[in-house]
Amino acid sequence: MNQLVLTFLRIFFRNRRAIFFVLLLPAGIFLILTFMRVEQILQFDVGLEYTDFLLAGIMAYAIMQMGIYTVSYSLIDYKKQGVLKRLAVSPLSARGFLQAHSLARFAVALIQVAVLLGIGMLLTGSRPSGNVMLLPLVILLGSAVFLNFGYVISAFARDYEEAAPYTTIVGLGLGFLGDVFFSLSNLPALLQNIGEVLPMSALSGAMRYSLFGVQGQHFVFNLIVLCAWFVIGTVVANAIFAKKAYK
Amino acid sequence: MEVIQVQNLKKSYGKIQAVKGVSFRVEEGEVFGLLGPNGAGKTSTLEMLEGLRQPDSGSIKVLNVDIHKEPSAVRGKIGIALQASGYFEYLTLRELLALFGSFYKNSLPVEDLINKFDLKKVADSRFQDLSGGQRQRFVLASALIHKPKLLILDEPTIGLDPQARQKFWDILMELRAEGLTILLSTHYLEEAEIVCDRVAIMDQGKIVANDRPIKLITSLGVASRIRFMCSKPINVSELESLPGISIARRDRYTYDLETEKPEVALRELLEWEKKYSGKIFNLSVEQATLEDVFLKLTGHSLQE
Repeated sequence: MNQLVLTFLRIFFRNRRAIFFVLLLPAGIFLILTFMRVEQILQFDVGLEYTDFLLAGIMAYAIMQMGIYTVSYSLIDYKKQGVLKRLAVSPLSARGFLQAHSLARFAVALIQVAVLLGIGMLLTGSRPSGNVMLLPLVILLGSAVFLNFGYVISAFARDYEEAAPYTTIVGLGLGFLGDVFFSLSNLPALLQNIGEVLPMSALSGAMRYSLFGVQGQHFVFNLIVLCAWFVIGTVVANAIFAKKAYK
Repeated sequence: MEVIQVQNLKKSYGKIQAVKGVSFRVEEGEVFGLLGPNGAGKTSTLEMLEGLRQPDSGSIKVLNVDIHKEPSAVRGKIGIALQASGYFEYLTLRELLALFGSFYKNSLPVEDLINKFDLKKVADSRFQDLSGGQRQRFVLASALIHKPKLLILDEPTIGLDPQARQKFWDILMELRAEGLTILLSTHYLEEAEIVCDRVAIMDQGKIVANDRPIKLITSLGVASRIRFMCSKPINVSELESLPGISIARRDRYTYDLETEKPEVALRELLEWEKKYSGKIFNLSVEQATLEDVFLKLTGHSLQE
């Protein structure tokens, strides 16, 4: 298991495209939106500077993006190249594969958040003032939820073309209703209600509480939402991945 | 001891019945070949044996265990080289072998395998950068990292040049000499004849014959073949009337004579030539092969 986790990390850090999309792109989006001063056209009611609001949202967005986009596409590659089939005839079970892959990606998510936090502190003056000790738990839950999305998509899609509609719909929907770039309060009540039970806004909110101590009244609800998505997602992903991809 | 027992195995994909009641047994230490054309059902049979596909019916025992009921009990003891094995593209061969070794309780030292399979020069290269022969040797090394009792190879030399194929066969011969039980599928007759102790000929999802290659060739009474060209056309019925020749055929400039007594037929042919106004050239005598057996059993060529 340890060897496989290290292997996944090694593969990630040798893949320049993955590093660009997972680490550099979210940082770039954060800096561009910060310096464009987007907050001037949006309303805020969460008691935070827009930069801090965006920083926590982008962290959540980056974790989502890693799970849904890079994981599903890399696993489709593994499937097409016969890597999963080769592993399936070894003693490594589908569950063992997913556990090791998730652990490695959790480590990547920690690095993602650390990079973004460093940029926020150095370049835009963000100062974490919340319960930072909760951050690893939030990152763990959030990355596990979105990795499950990636595992399910990769199990269904035979190639990139088949995966693209799934990743686009899920990614765009979660991004729009995710409390990432603007507060959900800007949206109609129905969309707010939908957004609140989606994992993206739960992760954004939990991130904001952990980093900046705001929206504390929603923190437990956000954790429950994330836990529910995690449990359902893990059951579904394990079953579908083993049946449709790992063979 | 029987390492593999397959009984009345069936598998369909929709309306297509790919495997129609296949049965065979593989003894410990033997090299057993599944020989047949593409689409004969060889890969489906092997994938059911490997636990990758669930059979519709029939039973499979590998090392006395039902692989579909207890896959983990079997997978640690068998080595598998798939027809299209893939490996993580950002890892070197050395790293890949270390990774595969970590899946097993006991594994051979990586450097030993690299040396044994002549991979030292490319040990720090990536799988996708290897030549066909190097790839197949690596696939074999990764399948043998845990010293399995049984090795399953699906079309191991497909796409290899003759030299690489010969080198691969040499390795298989060494493994056989070490006592490893090997099950391989192939559509190369030469491979089956050279490497396999026993061969099951598969066609259209069924096993049509199962025996030692030489026994298959001799027991079916398949003839040897005398092949030649002649400076002047010959009437094939005239050739057929010669003693020892059972069938004569003409294909443009080449004449094929089938015979069960090649010495007699050759003597008679040369005697006949003395009286004939034409000259025979490019004369050769070929022993019957598994191709002839396949043709006789199925009515079509392996290459069709």
